Amino acid sequence: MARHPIHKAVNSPSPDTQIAIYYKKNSQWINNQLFLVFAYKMSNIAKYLALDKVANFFNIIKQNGGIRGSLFKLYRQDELKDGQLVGEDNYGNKYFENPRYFYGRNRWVEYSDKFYMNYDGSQVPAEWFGWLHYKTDLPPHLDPNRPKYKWMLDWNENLSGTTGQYTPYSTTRPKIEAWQPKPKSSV
Amino acid sequence: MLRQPLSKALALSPCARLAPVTGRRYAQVQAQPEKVEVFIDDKPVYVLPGTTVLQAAALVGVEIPRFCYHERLAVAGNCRMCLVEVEKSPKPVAACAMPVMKGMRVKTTSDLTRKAREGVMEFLLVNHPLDCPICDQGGECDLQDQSMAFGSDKSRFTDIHFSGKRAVEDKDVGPLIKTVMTRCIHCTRCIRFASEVAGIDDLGTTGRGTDMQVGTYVEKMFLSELSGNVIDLCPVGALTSKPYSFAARPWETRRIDSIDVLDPLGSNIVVATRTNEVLRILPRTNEEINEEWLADKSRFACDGLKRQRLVTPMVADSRGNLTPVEWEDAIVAAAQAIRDCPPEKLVAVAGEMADAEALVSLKDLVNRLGGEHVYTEQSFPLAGAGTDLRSSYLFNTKIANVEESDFVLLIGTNVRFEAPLLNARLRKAFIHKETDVALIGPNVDLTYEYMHVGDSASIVKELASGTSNHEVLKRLQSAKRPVLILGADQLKTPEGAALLAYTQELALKLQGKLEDKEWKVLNVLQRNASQVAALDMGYKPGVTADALKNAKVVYLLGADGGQVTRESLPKDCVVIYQGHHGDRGASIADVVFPGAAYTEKRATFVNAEGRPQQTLVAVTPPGKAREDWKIIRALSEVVGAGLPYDTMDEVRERLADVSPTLVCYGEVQDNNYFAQAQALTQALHCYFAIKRRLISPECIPLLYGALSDEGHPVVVLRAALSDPVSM
Amino acid sequence: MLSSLRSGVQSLWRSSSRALQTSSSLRHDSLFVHRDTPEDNSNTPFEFSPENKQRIDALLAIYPEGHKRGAMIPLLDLAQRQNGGWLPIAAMHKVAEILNLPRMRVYEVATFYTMFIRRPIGKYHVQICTTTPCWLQGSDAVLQAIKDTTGCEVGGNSPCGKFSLSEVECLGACVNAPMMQINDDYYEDLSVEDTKKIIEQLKRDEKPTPGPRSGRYASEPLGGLTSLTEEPKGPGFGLQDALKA
Repeated sequence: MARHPIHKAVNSPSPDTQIAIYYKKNSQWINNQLFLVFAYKMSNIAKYLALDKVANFFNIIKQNGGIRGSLFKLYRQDELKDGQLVGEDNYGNKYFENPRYFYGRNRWVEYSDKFYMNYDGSQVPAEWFGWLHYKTDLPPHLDPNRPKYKWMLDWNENLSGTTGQYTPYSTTRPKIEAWQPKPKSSV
Repeated sequence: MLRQPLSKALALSPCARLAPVTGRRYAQVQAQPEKVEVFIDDKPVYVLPGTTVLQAAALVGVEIPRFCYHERLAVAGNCRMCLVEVEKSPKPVAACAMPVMKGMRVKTTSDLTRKAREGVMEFLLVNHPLDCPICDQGGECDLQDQSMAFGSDKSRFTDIHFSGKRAVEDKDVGPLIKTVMTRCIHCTRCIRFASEVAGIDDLGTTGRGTDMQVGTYVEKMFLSELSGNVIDLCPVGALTSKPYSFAARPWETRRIDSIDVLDPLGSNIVVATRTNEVLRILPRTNEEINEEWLADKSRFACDGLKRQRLVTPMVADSRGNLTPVEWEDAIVAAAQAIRDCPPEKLVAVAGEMADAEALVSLKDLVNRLGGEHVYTEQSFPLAGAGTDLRSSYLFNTKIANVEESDFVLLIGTNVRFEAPLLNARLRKAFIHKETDVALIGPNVDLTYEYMHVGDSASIVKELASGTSNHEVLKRLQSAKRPVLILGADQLKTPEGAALLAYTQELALKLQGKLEDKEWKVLNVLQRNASQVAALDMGYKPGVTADALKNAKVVYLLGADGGQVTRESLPKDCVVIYQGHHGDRGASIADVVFPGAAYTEKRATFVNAEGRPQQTLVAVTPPGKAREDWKIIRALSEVVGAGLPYDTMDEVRERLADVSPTLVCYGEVQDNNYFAQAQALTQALHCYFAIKRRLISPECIPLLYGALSDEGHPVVVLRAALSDPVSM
Repeated sequence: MLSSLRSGVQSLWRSSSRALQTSSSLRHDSLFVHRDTPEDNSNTPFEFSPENKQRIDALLAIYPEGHKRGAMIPLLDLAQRQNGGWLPIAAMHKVAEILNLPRMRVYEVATFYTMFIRRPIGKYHVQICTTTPCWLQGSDAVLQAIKDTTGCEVGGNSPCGKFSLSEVECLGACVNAPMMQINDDYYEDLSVEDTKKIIEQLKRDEKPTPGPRSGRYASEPLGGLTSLTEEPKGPGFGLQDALKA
């Protein structure tokens, strides 16, 4: 099975080949990477001393906005990760990827701040769902073949359990019409 | 006017008793003619000469198919479905019109008979549309059933595939009867019913041959108070119920035997329900009351059970607006008011649809609290014997026996609209038994000819004193079985007592001279279904203004007649209303208890004759509504005067204690003490001059005329009239 | 439906349309329900003339008490004649009133008999027989002649309002076919010219001589009698001698 070049690139990035691209995207990220590259170069000793883990730890805290930011994210998401920002959807959800993590955990979404603690899976719009669940490796904003028609509706999250939820109602007339007392004029 | 069916006038079927009457029979003067022996399918049967073959066959349990023949209508013999083979007869004969002859051998299952039936069915189906799937009669259609049983599976009339079937324009005969005249098979049952029973000769056949159609020729409503019965009579789907159209199939409905409470006769009905909804009401045969007919009001008022209902207890808030509350709150509110009320200021008023169980519970409750003020809405004179003797306020002759009478005098009653089925009886007696009818009161159309004596109440006085020189007095005196029927609405006025007294005197005078000592002359025709039971229990008839003026708590048990108004009560009076419809009573109430309507409870109602009958639960009461006696029982507990019965059986035991007649279901006790009642009246000198003109309460049928703004069954009929589609 | 399909096909495709066959369903040409029209509604006044009232009394006297309804058909006929050949609903109501019957019973009779005409018709009601014997003798041509001269269609009135034309079944004058009936008179042995002449005369309100137009007497043979020519024999002719007194 011939592997798609992008697939390959994403799944097995080699620091050497990816540096340029990363640099264009995110200088801070690149800085971190440069640090990693430097660490890699000196890896043997560092690895042996598990210094790269320490480096990752600091890197994650840094990327998530320092100690305060990290604590907030940890509170909100129960998880702290570092990764490449792949894109952002119309609702403010950010999509990340980091191949360092095991397959299945290497793509994730950080829900928009406006959801605060009330985030759930249905807030991921359909176009990002595919990327997030490995149906495709092309994020929607990079995929030229995505249909975009005027009649396509905006994504709507599942409102069950909220005040906006759909409640089924009867369209038949009630069998019994109750008597409505005439309101008396106020005294 | 032809007073008899043609066949009878020409003595073709010599006095065959078309309608078997199980009412009281009187000794026949003539000796019974000798019975003749006939053989139906080789089974011998002895029948009276003049019996038709069809009736003789019915006696041995052989049912001959028929469309046009109906037991209670004249024989027409035009559908030919009842053709049977008779030995030694060259052709098959129509069983419904053929009188039996001695030694006749009828074969109802022979090849010839079968072939004849198949042939007739083939002809009938040439022009009958095969629209059974969209026909309201489907499932209860005589043509459907009989074509399955006796028809052939194919027709030789293939030309209809090319020329089409005969199509007939539908008629518009009003808001109750839907007509699809293409389905008509020309049995003429509806025409005969209209002409013989209803007395409205508006239906007939026009045209001839294939162009013949049943209808009114000119566009007009079938303005009869019994019009709904043609729906039952129609063997096909030509005449169906408009409110019930496209509502249900007969096999989907549950049928519950019950009693009608919309007129004083207590007609027996079948309530057809589905998914806790009353769909329609059909008559149930009871020879002693309604035969197999039903008045339109009783039949079509069932849509009223779905409108304007009280579904939840309500209590007036600080602004006086009724707001829905829980049962507990409503009962506590009512109990508090009753507890705070001195017993002599507690007034209970029963309305026209109150059942006996609720009536007895309410009376017991009031009595236990030490009160005595229990009233009905309908008044009745208390002077003299008042309501102490049952015979003074009952229809003593009994409905079925009216047919046996030879002279009927109606006093101030428009029987046609007060008790349509009694009027049908009178008309039947008028036509078939040569009964004559006279009327004192407004000159109304009773659908038969009668002697109009005048409309002044003083005529009764003259008749009673024997000073009248009107022909009617001679007729009454010479009558073997005279009947006086006094409309209860005439007794509302201050002169009611005198009118009743004179009527009693006249009745007693007539009765004294009768050969038949069992015959009862005096009848009072009550106006509603609850009055007799209430009077039997000792309710005082007619709530008085005095009682209301001093009231502190008024308990209305379905009293919507407008006797109790806010103006007639003191300002701080608490009104508790218990009933099933939001109407006059509920709109002045401070506490509302939702009760059950007559289709929703097992309850006893006593009809004008004094015949107790019980309704059964056809549907559950809507919302939080409960059976009436249970509400009162629960209230009594909170008030602190708990009633000593917890189950229906115990309530009925209590009823039996009050009056054993109240639980003799389906039976009428004979009433006597006419003389005592009259003596009491005489002793108290309640004779005085009466000059008033009698006014008939309703000269227009409820259905088509004056519709009250808030009244319940009537309102609903109005809804049905304006919006037939929504039914 | 099939017949309209056939006519549709016929116009497009003349040759094969014969394969589609329908049989016509025979319907009466008048309605059996009443429709109010300006000429005919229950408010139009109708009153019997004084002469007819006398006739009514005489007619009613024929029938015993309790069976006066037997006079219904004569009364309806009187009403129809008085009203110019047709029977308005007001007249039916009048008859019902006289006989003290429900109106429906009168409607039933009036709709049953085809000689009671319940729509306004012309002064001269032309009824042309088109049953087989008349048809064989050329009733089609006679019918066409009537249509041409009066301007009537079958079942309709002429534009002038004076004539009405009906096609009827056998009127029992087959020996003198073709024939037509105009009001109460039979015109027999018609030719197209005879017909036209009769109609022209009627247009001038002259009364044409009723009976056969061929000059013969009643239904006698045209060429004179061929049998029964001698005087009838007297009584006792051909009797056995033994029986002679």
